[in-house]
Amino acid sequence: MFLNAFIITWRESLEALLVVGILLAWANTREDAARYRRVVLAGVAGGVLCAILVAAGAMLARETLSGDALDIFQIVLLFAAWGLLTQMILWMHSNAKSMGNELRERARSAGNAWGVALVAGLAVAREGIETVMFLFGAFLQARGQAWLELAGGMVAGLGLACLVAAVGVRGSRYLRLGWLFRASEVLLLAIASAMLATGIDRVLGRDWLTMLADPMWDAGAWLDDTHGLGGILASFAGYRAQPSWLWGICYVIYLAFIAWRLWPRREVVAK
Amino acid sequence: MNAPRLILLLMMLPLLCLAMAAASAAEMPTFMILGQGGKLIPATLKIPAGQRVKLVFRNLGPGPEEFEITEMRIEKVLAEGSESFAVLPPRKHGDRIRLFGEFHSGTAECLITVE
Repeated sequence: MFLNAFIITWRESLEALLVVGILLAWANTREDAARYRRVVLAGVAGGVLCAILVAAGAMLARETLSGDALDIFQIVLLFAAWGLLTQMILWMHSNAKSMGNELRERARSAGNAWGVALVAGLAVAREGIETVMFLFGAFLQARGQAWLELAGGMVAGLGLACLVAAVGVRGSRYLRLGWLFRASEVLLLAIASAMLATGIDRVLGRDWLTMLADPMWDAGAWLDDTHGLGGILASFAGYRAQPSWLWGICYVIYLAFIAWRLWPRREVVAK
Repeated sequence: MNAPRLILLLMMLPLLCLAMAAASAAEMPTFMILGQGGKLIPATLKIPAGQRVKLVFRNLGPGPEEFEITEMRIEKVLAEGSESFAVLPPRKHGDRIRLFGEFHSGTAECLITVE
């Protein structure tokens, strides 16, 4: 029981805290860092609340929020997180470069603070739903000793994930600011791509867009996507050894869009 | 074209999928897997190679269960009494897939063989 609770809490919260950690590290690069840190933490709190409400809804109102409804909700959450994250990356990029009107800048960043909070919240909610459902069920069934083991596992898992994230955020302060900025952009872009790939898998798993479900090729012999380097690329950048046509189409469009949005600005700066 | 608008458009993708869900009514081999008392039933399963296969998951409890196939990134968290499904992409003859209940890892397992 301890090990189960520990592993599930640790794994799910680490994924969410990866996004939160990058956002916090990015917040530290800004002049109004304290404000952005608060924004990120407010998003986290909102995400935890959302996860608890949805998980409670799924367990109590089985009729209205049954397996299929929960599944669709998670898919929508995934695409919403992906869209918001993409928008935020583009905003971060243009924000770093622009030296425009200060007032307009301030107004824009007020609106975008909400975006940052939402991205943090969605990341936490998405990973949190499963953890909360597991813990709900386990605590309901546990008696005496098992209850303690569960609580211990949960605290240890969450604590370790928080510790890793905190060390990462602390450590990032020693990096050069420009490098940190670039790194957080690239990492967030990779995470957004991975979200897109997961969303595509989920959509195909529900038998939607079936005509685009067949694999384009099988690269499993060269770079397997289940373990090793391929596994890491799959988890953090959306690599697939047997990519579906839907994956191919979405990736080409998405990467072309990102390249088109990011590249011309760099040229302008270079002049 | 401004970015927020395009992203909003991209976010319509799930809705589009919903619309197309009705269209894809192709029949395919379907297998039911039950989660009960911290175990998966059946514990072994044979599925045909070279075609898509539908797995229906039903959790009879007690408590929630997460049906997971790690290498195919399938994760279905189900409350007690809930049911859902996942469609597997075509697999090669001889492939072995491990489906397990993540909330009862160690006891809840179903080994799938492709033939």
